[in-house]
Amino acid sequence: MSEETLWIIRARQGDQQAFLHLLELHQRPIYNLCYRMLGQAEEAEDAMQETFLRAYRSLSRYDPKRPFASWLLSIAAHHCIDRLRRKRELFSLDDPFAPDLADPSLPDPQEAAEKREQSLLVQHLLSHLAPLDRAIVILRYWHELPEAEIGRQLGLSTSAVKSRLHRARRALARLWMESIPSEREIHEASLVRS
Amino acid sequence: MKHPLFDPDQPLTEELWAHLRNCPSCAALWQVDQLLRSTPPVPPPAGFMERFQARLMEERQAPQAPRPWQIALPMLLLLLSLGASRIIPPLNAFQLFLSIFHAVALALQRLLLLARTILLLFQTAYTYLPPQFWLPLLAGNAVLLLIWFFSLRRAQLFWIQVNR
Repeated sequence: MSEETLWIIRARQGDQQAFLHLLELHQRPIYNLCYRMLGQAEEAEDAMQETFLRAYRSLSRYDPKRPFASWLLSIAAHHCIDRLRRKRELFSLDDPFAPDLADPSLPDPQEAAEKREQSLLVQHLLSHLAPLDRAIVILRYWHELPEAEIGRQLGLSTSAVKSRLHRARRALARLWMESIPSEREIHEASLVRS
Repeated sequence: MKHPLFDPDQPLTEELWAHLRNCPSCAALWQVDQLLRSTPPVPPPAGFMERFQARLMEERQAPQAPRPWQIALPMLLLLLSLGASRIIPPLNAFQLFLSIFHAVALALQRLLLLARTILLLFQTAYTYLPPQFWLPLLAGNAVLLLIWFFSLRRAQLFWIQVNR
């Protein structure tokens, strides 16, 4: 029995500290999913809090055969999709709540600034996708989940995930070609160099 | 573009690499794929767990809001009992027992009548119509019933999945 399973058993028996410990272990991927889905730090934090509260309320219904991380990701993805469907607003790069994406693990300020630019660019591209397609792209790229697992989490068939992923990639590539010429030229140059 | 688009999940061969240099559509797909792969995850904000702990405490201390049916059902029962007390005159226990017995007997009688009517309908159909007419009808109904049952089951599973 893994250490995580022991924590889960304790949490299901009502041990709040065990539950908080589990959340602390998984907060990084959940926050990334919420942030990439919603595009704003404040909203992402609120969505993560709501995800964790939902997990707390439905802990008795959690199936221990399923990985805890997948269960949390599934709750977070559904919650973010619902939020986006309610809002139907696109993320704006001029948003006053645009987060400080500087990664503290990067000591070089220039590298940190480049990563921040890249992160904002990715966010801009993602904001043009439909909520469900966005969730699929995020789960594929940042969480490295296979298509079958993404399907299980979002209630879709594997073939539906494949076709949506393909469509989303094409949409992103089209947007990349049409709207961001300067970025495209830099990457094209790097492609030619390599 | 007359060829299938580049699939980023496939390994990059020399041939594909050469193609990427000459095909802007496939190159854009590859570039976006590389961009997504090289973008690091966003770290959670500092102090999140403390803020969540405080919210969890609030949630535990706040009285649970009643669900809509928990309000609607007692109100409906109250309205029904008020209405009933207006319509039904006050009865003693024996009269109440007799009226309940009478209502049950009446309901059973009507059910029996309905069953006899259905039986008569089938007997007539069996006598005047050959089985090749009514058997497909019966089978069709059974299939429709099955489809209805499975669609309800799917809807229930989807609802569970969404609310998980």
